[in-house]
Amino acid sequence: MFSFFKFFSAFLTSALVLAGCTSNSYQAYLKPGTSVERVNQDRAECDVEANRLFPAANWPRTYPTATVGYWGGGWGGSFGVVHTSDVNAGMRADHRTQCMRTRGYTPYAFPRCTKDQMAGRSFAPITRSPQPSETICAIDVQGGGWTLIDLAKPL
Amino acid sequence: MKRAIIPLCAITVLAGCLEYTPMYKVGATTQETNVTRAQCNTFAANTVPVIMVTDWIPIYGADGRIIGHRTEVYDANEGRRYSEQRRCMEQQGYSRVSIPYCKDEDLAGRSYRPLTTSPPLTSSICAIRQDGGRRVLIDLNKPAN
Repeated sequence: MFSFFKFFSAFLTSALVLAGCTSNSYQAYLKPGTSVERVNQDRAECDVEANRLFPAANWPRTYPTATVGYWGGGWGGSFGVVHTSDVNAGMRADHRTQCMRTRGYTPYAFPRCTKDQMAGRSFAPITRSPQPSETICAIDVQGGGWTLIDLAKPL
Repeated sequence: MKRAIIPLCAITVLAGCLEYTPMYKVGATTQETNVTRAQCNTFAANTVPVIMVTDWIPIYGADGRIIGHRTEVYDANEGRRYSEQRRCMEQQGYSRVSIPYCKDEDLAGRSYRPLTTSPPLTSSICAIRQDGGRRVLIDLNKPAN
């Protein structure tokens, strides 16, 4: 029974992780004309401030659920899924956004570029914070992170 | 003890529908309150360890024999962690209060700005639920328009 519970917990965790990996948009902060370096610096300073004021607080919480089955020669079931979450994460994200707003930025979610959109062409990363546009999308870069490109300006 | 948890949770949830019951400190800004809550969340997480408990509960057949079982898995310190967080906030001058939710007839189609500083609680202060489950306070005596 306990191994079943562990399997269910692992499945739930995997589903959550996969859901995060398959996100098809990127949260950016826009201030048209500002260099990417400046945006990154402001973002880092706001991250540091948000992390200091709203540090991680990982609380395990029991969420009611029930499973019933016939295992090992008898009926059995389990109750409750314990999931650890950072209860300060929401407040931290809010503060980061507010911090960026006070510096003149507007949060904006860009879609992830699709292979069809790129059509085998190459694009240079955008070096200045752009105006929102349907031709701008985000791609992953080697080494982690992501960058914005303008589909209307292939190399 | 464990059997009492579900009814207690149900009562708490129902009470939550009727009134907003935050930790409150007159004069504190929303930002100050959030920071204090976050710091106390972290303090509680760091000082009250996780104690995972698995209860094995037999299931009896009609003849009184054990025919199976079910398990309950929970953190035995969950309640203590909440208590520690609350005590931390009380040490910062906060206390639990009950604030009624605003009624539609009280709002009467008017607009109100969320209060950014916790005022002394009077009959004109009420709470509004926002998208995402957040609550804000407004003063019915101070409409925005």
